[in-house]
Amino acid sequence: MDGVSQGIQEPFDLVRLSLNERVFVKLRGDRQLTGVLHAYDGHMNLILSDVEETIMIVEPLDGASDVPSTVKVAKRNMEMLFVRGDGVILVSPPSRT
Amino acid sequence: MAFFGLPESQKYLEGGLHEDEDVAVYTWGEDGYDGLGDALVEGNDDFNDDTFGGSDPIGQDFDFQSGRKLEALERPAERTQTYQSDRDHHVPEQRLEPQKPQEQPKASTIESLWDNKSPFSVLPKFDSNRGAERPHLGSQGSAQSTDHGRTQSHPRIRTVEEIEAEMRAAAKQARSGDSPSLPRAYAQPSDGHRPQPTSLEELERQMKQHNLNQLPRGSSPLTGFPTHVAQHSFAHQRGSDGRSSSGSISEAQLLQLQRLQLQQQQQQQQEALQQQMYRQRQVELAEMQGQIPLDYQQQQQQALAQYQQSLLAQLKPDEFIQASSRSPQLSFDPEVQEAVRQKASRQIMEQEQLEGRRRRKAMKISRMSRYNDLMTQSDKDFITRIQVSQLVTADPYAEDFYAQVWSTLVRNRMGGGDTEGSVIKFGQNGGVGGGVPGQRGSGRRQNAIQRMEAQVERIISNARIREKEKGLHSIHSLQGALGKTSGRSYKAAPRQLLQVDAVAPSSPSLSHTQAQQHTREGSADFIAHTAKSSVHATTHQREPSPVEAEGHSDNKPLTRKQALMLIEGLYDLLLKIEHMRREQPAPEDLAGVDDWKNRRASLIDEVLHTLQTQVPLDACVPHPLISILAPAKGKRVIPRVLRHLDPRRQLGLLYAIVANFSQLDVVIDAHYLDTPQDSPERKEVERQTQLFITHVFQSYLPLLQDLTLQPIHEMTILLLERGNLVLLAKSRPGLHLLTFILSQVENFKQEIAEGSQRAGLPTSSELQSWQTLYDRLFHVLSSHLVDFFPSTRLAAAMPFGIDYYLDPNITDVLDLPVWRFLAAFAVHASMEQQQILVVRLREKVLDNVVSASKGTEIEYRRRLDNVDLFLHALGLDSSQINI
Repeated sequence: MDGVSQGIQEPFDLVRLSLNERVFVKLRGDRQLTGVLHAYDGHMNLILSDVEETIMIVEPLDGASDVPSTVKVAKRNMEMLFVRGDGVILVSPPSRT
Repeated sequence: MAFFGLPESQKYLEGGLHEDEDVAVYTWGEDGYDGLGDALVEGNDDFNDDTFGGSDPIGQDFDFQSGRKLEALERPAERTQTYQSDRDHHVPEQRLEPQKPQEQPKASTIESLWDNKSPFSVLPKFDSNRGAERPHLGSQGSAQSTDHGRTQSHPRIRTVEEIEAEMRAAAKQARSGDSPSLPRAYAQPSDGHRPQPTSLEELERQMKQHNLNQLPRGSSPLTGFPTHVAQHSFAHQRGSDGRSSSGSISEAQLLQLQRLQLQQQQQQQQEALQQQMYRQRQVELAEMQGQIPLDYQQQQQQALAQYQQSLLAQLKPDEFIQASSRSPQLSFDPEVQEAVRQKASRQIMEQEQLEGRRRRKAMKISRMSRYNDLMTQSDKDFITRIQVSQLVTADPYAEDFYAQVWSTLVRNRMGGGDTEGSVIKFGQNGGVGGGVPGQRGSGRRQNAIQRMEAQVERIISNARIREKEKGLHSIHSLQGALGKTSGRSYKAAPRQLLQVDAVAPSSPSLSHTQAQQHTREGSADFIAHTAKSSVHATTHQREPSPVEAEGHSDNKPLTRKQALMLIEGLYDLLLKIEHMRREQPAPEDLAGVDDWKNRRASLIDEVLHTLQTQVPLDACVPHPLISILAPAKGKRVIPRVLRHLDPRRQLGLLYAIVANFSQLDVVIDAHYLDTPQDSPERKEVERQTQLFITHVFQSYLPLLQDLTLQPIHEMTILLLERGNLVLLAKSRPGLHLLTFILSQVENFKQEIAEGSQRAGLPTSSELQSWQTLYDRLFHVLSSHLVDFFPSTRLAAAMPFGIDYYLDPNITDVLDLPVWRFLAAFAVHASMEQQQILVVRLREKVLDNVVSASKGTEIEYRRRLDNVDLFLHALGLDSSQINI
């Protein structure tokens, strides 16, 4: 696989490989996105299309702390999305079956 | 906020405050005051008076609002005097001398700070009035300023000469009857207007000189006013001249006198306006230096209101004159008078409208240009040049591709007819200083833009020369051996200064832009390596890169990453090729054209290499080409590649794809489409299928339509021998391919039947051999015909086999290609084969016909059409079927 590493100079090249592909993005605030990556830049700003956002909402139950808090999942769909690079934790290809 | 947690304040917040509770209540100065505050002893209070200055008069120490030139502080006393004297604006200067000795002792404490003896006097003096002195105008201005009700007074520091000059001017003013105040202009009779013109003209002349010296630009909207005034008033006068032409000599004389008076009044008003503007200019200057937050517009409004007043005043005396001119005539026409009055009122209205429009325009201009002269034009040019130097590119199509293409598209969509493919040049927007459409300013801006463009040209040519030099010396000079420093301006955003060549394995981190350059080369090298190593015999001479890469081994299929890397390389090559097209040298330059062609050919060869077309078909499963076609990017690249290939190579590529068609991702994953429920995989497969059909098939259409039987024959053989036909037929692309093959052959047969003698028609022997092929096809496919229907597959996937919930709209549409295929299939069938077809598809056909009658009109028609497609091929029709 030396040939491959030859072509990749920096981590952004890996992101570059995923242009126009569906990617999985993990964001701050317990959010995840999957969408088709159209553009990115040095700040990790992303432009995605056909996006599905998954938000994990953890609601601590009042009272005793040993009762586990519920985790709710909220999903949203958007056609086009610009993500500020500030909140991006990771970008990866979607998990393949 | 910090106190909310405290128990005491919480109780307070909850509203339970009672007098008897223990809440801290502060009672300074009240009866219950415990006197602790007074007991506090503080020192350092001795200089309070000085600091806060309560006792002494304030003076002008920190009064920067005058906007006048602060002269050397040799006359500290005058400041206080002028402060007091400005209160009454009649003859401020004459009181100067008597007041001076009185004020001196009082002012000593503060003024002493600013004396030449004190250390503060060496500080740079504030100079708000950049320009020559205008003593008399200054005094007039100050008089008018208080006249207009300014809240602050503006005393000035003057030298002895200034004071004398002012006194002289004041004397002149006194002689001229103290005329600057506008509302009084028309009320004054014409006494003493002999000396008036001279003094006024003098003043005007001086003012104009000063204007020219000191108001370089920006006051054009304002100086436009007096010209307007002048034109208007003169037009008015001319009108009045015309009207009163008939009359006795005495009348004429009277008229003339009055006209003169009017003229002078108008001149006065003009001058007053100019003075106002000048004053406003000074105020602007003072503002600029950040002193007064004056309401500029308010001032202007006031000025304009006064101007309007003066205009009305002009009209009224006009009327007045006419009335007076007519009154000696006993026979005056009431109608004429009426008409005149109406005309006058109309004119008033018009003028008011014009006034309003002018006022609004002036406000807008002032708003826009409020900050215009904070920077001089040269400052703005400077900044614009810096911006330009950052933006300029030697090759806009390479570096700014999308903007150029987009602009071309927009232009084609809108106008067209402009210079084709013209490059967007900076400067069309006017650079930084865009805003005020003043004439003088725009002329200057155009100069700046021209200069910028010249600079841009220079930068481009310099960059080119430097590039050439680098190219010449790159091999044998040590330049750049340790990395080269960035050539771009350091004023830009911080960029990585060190660029190290990317081929070296131990490269430090690069900046993004430079990395892109290098990775392009890097990937191209990588491509070269993989191509080289995977092909045993290579005809291409490429310089070996310093680091020998293994390349990928033949037997393992490409990983996704490798495929993506190859695709990236492909795109780079494509960009190079397409860029070359723009560099095509002139046809006259034979050597250049040859060289260009060679380069292009080699690039295209490389493209084919990258597509792994040279890899033997069975090297691995899936074939590298197929792996490349798997991502969406790979599918999209095919049309672009095809554009540069000649038909022979296009066909070769097609063969390569068809040979391994069953390995395509769209074929293998087609079963996902058979599940009725949605899932991300299903969506993805659907998307990929769509992409494949639109990009690969559509782009091949022109070639396919011109194919003779021979290649079709070959393709059919490939499919039969290498492809999993059943699997293929269960996928939409596979169906499309098969349908195409069959329909093409059918077309050939029809043409032959019609007797055409076209060149590409197959011979009968060819047709024969095709028919045998067809038989084989039939043999393979016939047993699975029903499964080819998406509706059948969907129904099979449904639990309990209930197809009731299948939306017929969708299934009918999905089934259409299948019916088409079957029709094409049936056309070539012999009698027995047709029989078999009928038998196999009988149930399906009947199903459709029966259900069609139950559905709506549209569904009914659609289903019947579908069925008819097939039945017609057999020579049957749906109407023949009896339910």
